Amino acid sequence: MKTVDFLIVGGSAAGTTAAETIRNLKPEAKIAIVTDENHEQYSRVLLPNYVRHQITREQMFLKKPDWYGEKKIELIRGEKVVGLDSRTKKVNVSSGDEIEYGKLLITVGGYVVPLDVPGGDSESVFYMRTVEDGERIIEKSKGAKRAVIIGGGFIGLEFSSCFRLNGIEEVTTLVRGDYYWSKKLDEESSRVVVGVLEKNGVTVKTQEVPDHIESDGGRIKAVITKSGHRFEADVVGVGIGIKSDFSWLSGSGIEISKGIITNEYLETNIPDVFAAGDCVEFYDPVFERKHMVGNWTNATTQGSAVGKTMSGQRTKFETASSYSISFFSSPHNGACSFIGVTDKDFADKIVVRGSSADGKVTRIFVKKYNGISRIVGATVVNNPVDVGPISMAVKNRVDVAGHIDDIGRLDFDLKTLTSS
Amino acid sequence: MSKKYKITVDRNLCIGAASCVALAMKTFELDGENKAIVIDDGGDEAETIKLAAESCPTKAIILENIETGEQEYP
Repeated sequence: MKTVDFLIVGGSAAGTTAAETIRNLKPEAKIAIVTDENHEQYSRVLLPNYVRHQITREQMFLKKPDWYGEKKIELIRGEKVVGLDSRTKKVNVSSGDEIEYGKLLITVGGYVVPLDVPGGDSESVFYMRTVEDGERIIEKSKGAKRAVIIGGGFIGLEFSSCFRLNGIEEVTTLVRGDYYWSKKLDEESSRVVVGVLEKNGVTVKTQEVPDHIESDGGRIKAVITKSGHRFEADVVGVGIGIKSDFSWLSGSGIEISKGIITNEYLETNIPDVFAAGDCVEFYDPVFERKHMVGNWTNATTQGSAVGKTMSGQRTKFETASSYSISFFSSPHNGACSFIGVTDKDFADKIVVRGSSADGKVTRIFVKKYNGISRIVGATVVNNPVDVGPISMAVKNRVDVAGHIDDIGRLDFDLKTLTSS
Repeated sequence: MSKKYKITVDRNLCIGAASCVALAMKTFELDGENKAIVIDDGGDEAETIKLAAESCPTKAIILENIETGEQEYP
């Protein structure tokens, strides 16, 4: 049996950042990372850029093999943690090994939700999560003429440009909702996104739910929807969400709801067990509520905060994160950002700047806290200059009560909110 | 605030993920092309700027120590 001071389950953004932070504070500690992927840390954010041939496979990797040796961080790759006994402080690994820990960090992230329809297990049905996914998309897209994308959202947008830049001429996106990305955007913002997609040769079909995938001799022919429509395709890209696997934690006593429950220090209810990144439902002191946040910034900054806490410098996690992507390039480029909390039910008021006619829409979510009207979040479509000042207003908990009407005007400079 | 770093953003690498803006918003912002730009080399504490650079998913932020002239990150 192996014994380490710090054991980290999951080797991506949150886990690797935490390991590095712990090493800086604890030069002599024994640190190990167990990851079910067979790689050093790479950037999932860069995966679509690799698929679009904008960077090499090697450029995706944020850590070289030597880095782990230099930092004396043991990387146990290609192994899954299958059980946890929090009383004896031991985990079981798929290889049959047992590892005893002093402190445990869970940063397992999520796996992609599979397309659960007949024919959905074909080699030419793609996901966008791992290096292997990226390699398969490039390989199988060669010679493909038609692609269908299932799901509108960040991954759907990435698939759109990935397919087009791999030479696929006809790309059709199927979404379940009444309009594109209806779970996260209003109709005006959605119209701007769809406008960009259409200019780049991508068609969007709404209220279409896949029923099955038709194949012939192992080759995909078409996606058939519940409404009976037939969309011809050689390849299919799926982006319908991610989910965490907590089955190995059953019986461990760790409190789990939608994610692993932690306080603002990313401590679970079990002593010496911590959690960070996409798999966590944490108490967020910025918004005074418990929630899950799945993006790169959140994962790295939580990794840094929890690394300090685990090393003895108890640190509150207090960052309002945001995430942006650019899809397609000039002249018909699009950009979309989500800042803070953008739940309709959470906000008291949503102020809209711009319109589809302006080619840009920013929605600002305002909520009252103890008499102060704060911006708690925003969706920003094709208006990236708004991202900085809104992020600043969210972080500084600026009272915008006196500017509610102003912020809805595109000619109002949002920097005014934080300059005084 | 005294400046510690000369900060450069590699525009070819930057994809506008905006991690840096979320963490060091007095130092970085996004421009009209959804790329990060430096608005003030010393806008935030040096430690915050370092964290922002390290959190960049494309390693597009380059930090050069002004005193020593050496590249500190990446």
